[in-house]
This record gives sequence, structure tokens and C-alpha cells, in this order.
Amino acid sequence: MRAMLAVVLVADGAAPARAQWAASAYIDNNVAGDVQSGRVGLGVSAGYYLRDRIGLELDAELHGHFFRDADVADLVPTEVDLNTRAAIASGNLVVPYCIRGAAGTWCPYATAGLGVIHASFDAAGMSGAESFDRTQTDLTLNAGVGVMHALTRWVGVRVDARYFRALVDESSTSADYLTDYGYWRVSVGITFGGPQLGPTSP
Amino acid sequence: MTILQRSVRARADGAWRHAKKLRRCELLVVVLAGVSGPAWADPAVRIGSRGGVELRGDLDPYVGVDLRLSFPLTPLTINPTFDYIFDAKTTLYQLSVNALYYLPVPTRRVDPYVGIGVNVTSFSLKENTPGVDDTGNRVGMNLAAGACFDVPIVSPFVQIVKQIGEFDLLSLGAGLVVALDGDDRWTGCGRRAR
Repeated sequence: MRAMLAVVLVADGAAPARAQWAASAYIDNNVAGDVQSGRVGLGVSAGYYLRDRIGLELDAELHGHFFRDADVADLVPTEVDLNTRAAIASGNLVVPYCIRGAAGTWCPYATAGLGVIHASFDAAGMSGAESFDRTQTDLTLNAGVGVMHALTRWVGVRVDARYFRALVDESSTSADYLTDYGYWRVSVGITFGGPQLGPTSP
Repeated sequence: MTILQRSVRARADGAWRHAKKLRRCELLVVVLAGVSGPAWADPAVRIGSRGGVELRGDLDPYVGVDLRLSFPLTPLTINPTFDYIFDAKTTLYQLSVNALYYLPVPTRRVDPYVGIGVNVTSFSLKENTPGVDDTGNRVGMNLAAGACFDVPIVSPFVQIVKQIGEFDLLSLGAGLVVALDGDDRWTGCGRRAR
């Protein structure tokens, strides 16, 4: 019983300051660049932060209507509407700097990472031709900035803007979008845990 | 074993059982304190209805619901809303989440605010139109400004919202919010009480 009590006390008291897990869920929009803007993307991320100073974060996102119609129109006959989607996965370093004061806890951060974009091109049910169902996976670099803000001791909001650069193998025979492309993504979400958990002003 | 020895042993057993119960209670208290922290109980909740018109185009009216969540650790109020827009050609629903900031102005009973947020508009054309998307969702940004009037029971508000995105609507609206708690740390509008 004493051992259990000790474990609970240690677990209860040790959580906030040194190393923290964080999880976020967000909605995003590709606002500028070589892809379609205005379409909804949804993503999640999970991170581990050391001493409020540096974190490693894994991020996954699904985005509908990814490429602009005009940029992929020549892949299918004129009357066919080609649907494109993308799944984006990346691992990122996050460097936050938390400011705690009367206006609450704000943790601006910079981030950079590496990942892949798995894009799919689908025109199922094309009339007079075989259905079109292709994919390509491209190495992707990203970098950006954002801010986390604590609403409660455990929950916060997060705004993030980052630039993605996809490096396409232009000699590939299986890819459909045969040039490097880049875009800015802005996301807004809710975050649980993370560096905002540190001591807060009353 | 004598009667005295039995009595002493029974008392010792009772004391041990009592001590065990106390430890269980201690453990329960510690676990509850660790799990339930005060933060989850703290948000101030205001809920209400709203309506207005879209100023661009055909002056389409809209109605919706408005939720305002205020937290002790932040000066921001989180404001999710849901609206239905009466449009002759399109079925339009809009879900927004804005962060409102009540301006620090020394006015009694009037709480002006500005806000920024994100919206998702779900649309469906009532007539099939070739060459365009009949249905879909579009994401955009909101810029809001308004004022809430801190009066007893219900708090009316007026606001104007500019949307940035594929649906670049400009809406003028008003509504009422009611507090779901009696917490005097917050005004009826959800602003921190001065």
C-alpha cells in the first residue's frame, strides 16, 4: 500500500516541468503555392518535449482536392474531373520559447522537418476509358513557425504556418506530377499537453 | 488465551483494519486530486442564438447558435458558432471557431471585442451546374468585431464578420447569450469581471 501511495504521489508531482508529451488535432488550409487553396485538411500530431526547450513531433495529415485542377487536367480526357488527395507524414524538430505572464502562457516556436507526401489521382468511372487511379510519393522538407497558448492547465490552442517543399523525381515513370512543388500551410487546432504545461501565472 | 489477551488482540485487529481503511481513503484522495484538477471545472460557458444578414449579394439572412467559452488562464474567449444561411440557389452551413479578445476599455456594461478564427463552409447547389463542384467544403478565415452588452439574465451582442477565402462573405448580425454558471469572475458576456 505504501509503495502504491508513493508511486501515485511521485506520478502526481513529477509531471509538469521536465519532459512532456503533447498531442494536437488541427484543421488546415494550403493558403499559397503550387497546390489548391481553400480546401479542408485534417491532421494530428504527437510530440515529446524536453525541458520546454526542444521537442520531436510526428505529424500526419489528410488533404482533399490537393492539386489545382488546371495543373493535372492533361492527365485525363477533357470531360473528366480528376480528384486528387494527399496524405502527408513528417517528423519535425520543434523549438518553443514559452512566455508566461498576465496575458497567459504563450509558446511561440520554430519547426523544421522531413517527411513524405503521398498524392493520389483518381478519376473512377471515366466514360470511354479505363478508370484512372495513380499515386506518387515524394520526399518533402518543411519549416515554419507557430504558437501554442494555454486555455487550461492541460488544453491549449495552436496556430501554425509552415512551408512544404516536395522533391519530385522528375525521371520517374510512375509519377504524374513531374516537377518539384511547394506551398504554405496554415493550421489551427487544439493541443493537449506540451510546453504550455509549465508553471503558469495565477 | 485469556479473555484479556483476546480482548487486546481484537482491539489490535480493529485498529489495524481502521488504519488500512484510512490508507485507502488517503490513496483515493490523492488519486482524485491528481486526476480531477480544478482546471476542467473552470471554463465559463455562455450559449445563445444569433442571426443576421450577409451584406454581399442578395442580403441572405442567416440564423445560428453561438457558444462562448472563457478560461481563467487566458484573456481569449473561444467562440464556436454554427450558422445556416438562407440562400435561394445553395444550401449553406457554416461552422466557425473564433478567438475573441475583449478590448480593455473602461466602459460599464459594454464589452467591445475583436476576433480572429477559422470557418468551414459546407455547400450544396440546389440545381446541378455543369463544370463546377455541386457540393463541397471550403475553409476560410474570419475577422470579427463586435460589442456585447452585459445586462442581467441574457446578454445581447452585435457583430460584423469578414470572411476571407472562397466564400468571402461579410455578415452583420446580432444575438443573445445566457450564462450557464453563476460564477462572478465573469460578466454575462464571458469577459473577466473588472
